Amino acid sequence: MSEDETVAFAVLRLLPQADVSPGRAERLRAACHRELRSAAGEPSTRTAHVWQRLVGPALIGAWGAAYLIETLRVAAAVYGF
Amino acid sequence: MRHCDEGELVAGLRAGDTAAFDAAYDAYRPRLFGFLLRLSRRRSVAEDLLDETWLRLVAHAASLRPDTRLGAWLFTVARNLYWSYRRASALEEDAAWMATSSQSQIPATTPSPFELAAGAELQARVERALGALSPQHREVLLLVVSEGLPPSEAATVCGISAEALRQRLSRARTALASELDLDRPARRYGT
Repeated sequence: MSEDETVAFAVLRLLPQADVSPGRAERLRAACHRELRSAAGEPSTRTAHVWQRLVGPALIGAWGAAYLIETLRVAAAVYGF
Repeated sequence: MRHCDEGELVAGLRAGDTAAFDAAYDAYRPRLFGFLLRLSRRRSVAEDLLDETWLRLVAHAASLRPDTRLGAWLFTVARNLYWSYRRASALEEDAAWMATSSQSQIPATTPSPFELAAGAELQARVERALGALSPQHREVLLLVVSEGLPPSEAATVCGISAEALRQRLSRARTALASELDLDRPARRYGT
């Protein structure tokens, strides 16, 4: 290997680092954070999800059922059943 | 990056830890971008492929094996994305290449104006010679010489055997030397 080639390979090792613009880098970082959080499921999000999908409908259903039963019971008492 | 550090990063990524992601992102983003930029020779392409590489990482973070070599994984994804892009778009290789000169880092010691000019000229010669190589030769030189990946890892990234990588690297070095000779005006004109 000639001296020039040796120098060339040394330069190849030391080629200046390139990078995307700071704005683009931060946008990509934020997008990746969002993806990571949604994949892992953050605790607050998970709690909200459980409330919306399970606890809320269950309470509303129980209250509705109790109201219906009480209405029927009162109606039955009025008509003497 | 040391192996144990990589192990911690992979564990963090598997758990969805954004701090672990940031550490990996800051360590590998410039290296991956430089690799993609010199491989594709187009800044816009390198930027898009870099985005896709990181989005692939976070999409697959939870399913990473604990012993994943993060650097090799990222370079493999970046390299495969480049070849997919190249196949899809029939990339023209002789596009204008003026990519990295404006992104140069400031050297630690301040060279004299003469050293600066000589260094910049040599760097430009190497960039031109690198750009004139085939993408296969360019990628092995970038991975092994520029990025310092061990040959076994570079072979994994390129999807070839260690022996095939050794041969390809040898041919790439010869091709680069040849391009540098062609680039030398004194030799070209026989003076």
